Amino acid sequence: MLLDIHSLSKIYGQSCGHCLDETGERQGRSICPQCGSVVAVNRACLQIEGDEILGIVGESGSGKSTLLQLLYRDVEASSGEVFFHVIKDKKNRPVNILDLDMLQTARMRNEMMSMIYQNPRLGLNYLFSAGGNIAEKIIGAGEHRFEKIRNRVHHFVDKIELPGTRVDDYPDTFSGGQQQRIQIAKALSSSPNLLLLDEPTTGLDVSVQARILDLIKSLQKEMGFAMIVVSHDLGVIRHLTDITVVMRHGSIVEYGLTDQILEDPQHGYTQLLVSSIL
Amino acid sequence: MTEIRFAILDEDAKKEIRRALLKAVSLPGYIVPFASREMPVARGWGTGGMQITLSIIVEEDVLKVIDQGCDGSVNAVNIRDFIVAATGVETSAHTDEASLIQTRHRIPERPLTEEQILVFQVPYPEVLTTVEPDTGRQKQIHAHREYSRLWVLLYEDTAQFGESRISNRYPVEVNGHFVMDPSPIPRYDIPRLDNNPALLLFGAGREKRIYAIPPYTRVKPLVFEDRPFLVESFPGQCCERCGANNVFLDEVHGEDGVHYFCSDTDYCDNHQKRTDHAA
Amino acid sequence: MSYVAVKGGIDAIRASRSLYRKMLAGGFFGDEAPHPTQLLAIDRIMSEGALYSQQLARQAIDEAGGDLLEAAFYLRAHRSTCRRAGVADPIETGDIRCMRRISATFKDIVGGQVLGPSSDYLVKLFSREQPDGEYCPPGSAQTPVQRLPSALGELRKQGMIMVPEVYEESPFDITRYSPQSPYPRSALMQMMARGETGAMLAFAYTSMRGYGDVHPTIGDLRLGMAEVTCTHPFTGNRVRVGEIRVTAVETVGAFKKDPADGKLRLATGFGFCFGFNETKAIAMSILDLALTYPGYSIGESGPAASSEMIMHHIDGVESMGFTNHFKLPHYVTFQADLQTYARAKKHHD
Repeated sequence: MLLDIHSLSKIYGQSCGHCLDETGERQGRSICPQCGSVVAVNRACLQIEGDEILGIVGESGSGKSTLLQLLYRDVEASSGEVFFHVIKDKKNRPVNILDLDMLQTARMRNEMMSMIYQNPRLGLNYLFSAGGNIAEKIIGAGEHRFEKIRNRVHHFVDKIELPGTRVDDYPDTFSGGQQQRIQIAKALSSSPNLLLLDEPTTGLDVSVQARILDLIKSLQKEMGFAMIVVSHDLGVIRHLTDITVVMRHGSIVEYGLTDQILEDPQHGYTQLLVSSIL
Repeated sequence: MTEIRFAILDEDAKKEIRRALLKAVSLPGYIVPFASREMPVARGWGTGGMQITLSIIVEEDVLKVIDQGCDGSVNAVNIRDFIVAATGVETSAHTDEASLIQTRHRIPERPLTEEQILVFQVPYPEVLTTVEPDTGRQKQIHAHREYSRLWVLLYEDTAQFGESRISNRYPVEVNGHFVMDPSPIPRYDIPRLDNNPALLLFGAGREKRIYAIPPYTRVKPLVFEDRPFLVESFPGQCCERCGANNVFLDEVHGEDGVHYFCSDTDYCDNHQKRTDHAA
Repeated sequence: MSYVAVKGGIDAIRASRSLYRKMLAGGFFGDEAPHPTQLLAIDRIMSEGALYSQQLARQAIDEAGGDLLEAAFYLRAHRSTCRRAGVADPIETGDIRCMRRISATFKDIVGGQVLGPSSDYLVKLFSREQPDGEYCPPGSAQTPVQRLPSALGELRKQGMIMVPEVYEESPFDITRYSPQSPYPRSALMQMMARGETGAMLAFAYTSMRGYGDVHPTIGDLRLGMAEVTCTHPFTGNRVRVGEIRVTAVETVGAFKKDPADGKLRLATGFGFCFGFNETKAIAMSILDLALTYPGYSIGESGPAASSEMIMHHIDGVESMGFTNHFKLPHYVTFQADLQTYARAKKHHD
C-alpha cells in the first residue's frame, strides 16, 4: 500500500455542519441547500499500491482536480486523513500528510510526490532555465554536488527528447508540448514515489498528446512510480491507467479496472459518460 | 537650535536598537526588523551602521571608520567626524587600537580580537531579493530554510560561466542555519567571516534591518560540494608601497600602466613600517 | 467667500484667485508663516519630513538651497534627535476649520462648495495682470474659516459607504516599528502621509491610466486648520498644543460587496497630509483605494495595488539617499566584479 485516503472532504464556504450529508452523489448536487457552501470533494476513500496507475474521470466540477490538489496540499482539506506510506513517524507509523507543516510538505514534494499541471506555468519557474527548473527539484531533494546535478539534468533532458544544447534556455522559448515535457522532467528528476497528473495533455495538439502519453508511460515502466491521472478525456485514461474511479458531485461513484469500466460501466452516470464519448 | 545629545539619537531609539541587536546575536544570521531613525546622513550612506555604532558606543571606545578598507576615504572621514562630534570619543586608524570599527565593503586585514566589534554598513540585507522580491514570502523561505532557489541561481551560473557570477555580497550560511547577505564585501573577505573572534554586526538603515554574526560562529559560502570557492587573487602582484602580496589589492590605472596598492591602508602603513625596520 | 456650485460661479472664481494671491502675499495665517512665497514649499516638506514646524521647515529650505527633497531630509534627521513627548488625539476631519472645501460628487452640498484660495483657476502665464484685485463678492463672510460636515455625510448616513473593518486596536507606528508584510492599513497610511509627493503622484497616476482600475471621484477635499490636542502626561488634562494647516480628502471609488453583510456599498479612499498639498492628498486617497480594495482592478493588478510596491518605494528620503549613494566609492566591489567577469569570460569564450 502506498497511499490510503480516508473520508477526504473539501468544503468551500462557511459550512453549516450538514453540507456533507446534503450533497454528493445521492443528493445529486454539490451545493449545500442549507448554507450555499460548495462541497468539492465529499468523503472520498481510495487506496493505491506502490506501482499502480489510477485514473480519475468525471465532468468539470466533479471534484477530480480538487482531490489531486488536496493530496499535493495545494489546497487545504476540510476533513479526512491521507496516509502516504513513505512518510513515517519516529515509531515507523505512517503519518497523515494533511498534518504536515510547510517544511515537511516542501520535503514531501521535493522527494516523494510530484505534480504535473495542465498549465506548465503552474509547474515551472519562468525566471529559471529549463535545466534550472529540473535542477531545483534535484537540489530540493538534498543534492549539492554540481556534477551530479548537471548529469541528472542532462539525463532527464535526454529522456524527454529535448536537444541537450537547449538545456540552459528559458521555458518561454520552448513550444507548449516542450514546456510540458520540461515539467515532466522536473517532476520526475527527484525520483518520486507518486506522480500526480492534472489533465497533462489537455490543450495540446493530438499528435503531441500521444507522444507525451507514450513518454509518461515509458518513464513509469522504467522508474516504477505510482500515478494518479486526472482527465476528462477517456482516451487518456484508457491509454495510461490500470484502475479508474469515476467522480460526480464530489463523490466517488464507481471504482474498477479501467478496461472493465470503459467496456462495461455499472453506474448510470458512468454509462452516460462512456457512451457520450465513445 | 537644540544641543546635540551624546550619540545624537534619543535614548528610546538606542534602547530599541540594542534590543534588536540582542535578538540578532541570539539568532545568528536572522534579519531583525527595527524602526530605523533618519540620520543626519542620507539613507544609503551607512545610516544602518551608524545607528548601531551610536547605540552601542561608550565614552571609553576607540573608534575606527573605514570605507573600501581606507580610513582616509571621504565617506569614512565624514562619518567618523560626525560620530566624534556627537560623542567625543577617541579615534584611531590602527585596527589593533580600535574597540569599535565601522566599515563599508571590507574587513580589516589584521585579524580581529574578542575585544572588538565590527559594524558593517549594509545596502541590501535580504539575500533572497534576487529570487523572491516579496518580503512576506521571503520570511517563509527563511523560516523553512527553503533555499533551493539560491542554489538554482548558483547552478545556472556554474552551468554557463563555470562559477557563480556573484562577486560581492556572496550568500553565506551562518551557524548551519540561516543564509544571509554579508554586505558588499569581496569574496576575499568571505572566509574571514568564519569563526571570527570579533562580534560582527550588520545594519541596513534604509531597509530597517539588523543582523549579526556572534564571535566564533561557523560561516560558509553557498557553494557546491564538488566546486571550490574562488576568491579574488592577484597572482604575481604585490603592493607597490609596502610589498604585501597576500592581501586584497586596489588596482589603480595610471598613465604609466596599472599599479597595485593595499586596499587596507592601515595594514599597508604597518607592513611598510615593519619592512623599513627590518631593512 | 460665497457658497456656489462650481458651474457658473464666476464671482467665486474671482474671489478664489484673489484669496490665493492674498495667501501667497503673506499675513494670511497671522505671523506664523514667515516666508509667504515659500508657503507651499514649507507645507510640502513638513509633510514629507513628517515634522510640523514652519520655522524649521523654512530653515531647512535655506540650508538645502531650495532642494525640497533635501529639505525634507533635514526635518527627518532633526526628528531623530527628539524624544517623543506624547501622542496627540485623533483629528476629526469634521472639526477642521476649512478655508477650502469642494466636492466633485454633487453640485450642491451642505455647507456649499467653498473654493477658498486656489490656483486651479489661474492662467499660468508670466507677468499677467491680476484683474481680480481684492475681490470680495457681496454677502461673503469676512473670515473664510469654518467647520463643515463631509460632503459624503448624507451617503454615509444612508449606509451607502463601506466602512472597512478595523483589525488594529491602535494605529501602527512606523517610526517605532518596521512594518512587516502583510501591512496593516494604518502603516501604509502613515508611510503615504510622509511619502514623497512626486512618487505618490506617479504611482497613483498608474492606477488611473492603464495599470489599475481606480476611477476616483473627489468626494470631499478640504484645506484648513486643525486643532492639535493631547493628554498631558503629568496632569492628565486635555491640552491644546496648537493649530496646524492640513489637507484631507475622501475619494469615492467603485462599489463592491461589503464583506460585513454582503450588501453593495461604495468604497472610499482617504488622503491626509500636513500643510496645503492637494496633489499629494488626492494621490494618497487614490492609492488607499487601490490598496484597500485591490479587487477592483481588472486583470493584472497594477503597481499601485501592491502594498509591497507602495510601502517600499514612495519615501523620498530613502529613495533619494540610496540613489545618491552610488556616488560613493565602489572600488572593492567593482574590483571583485571585474575578477568574476574575467573568469566567466575565460570560461565562456
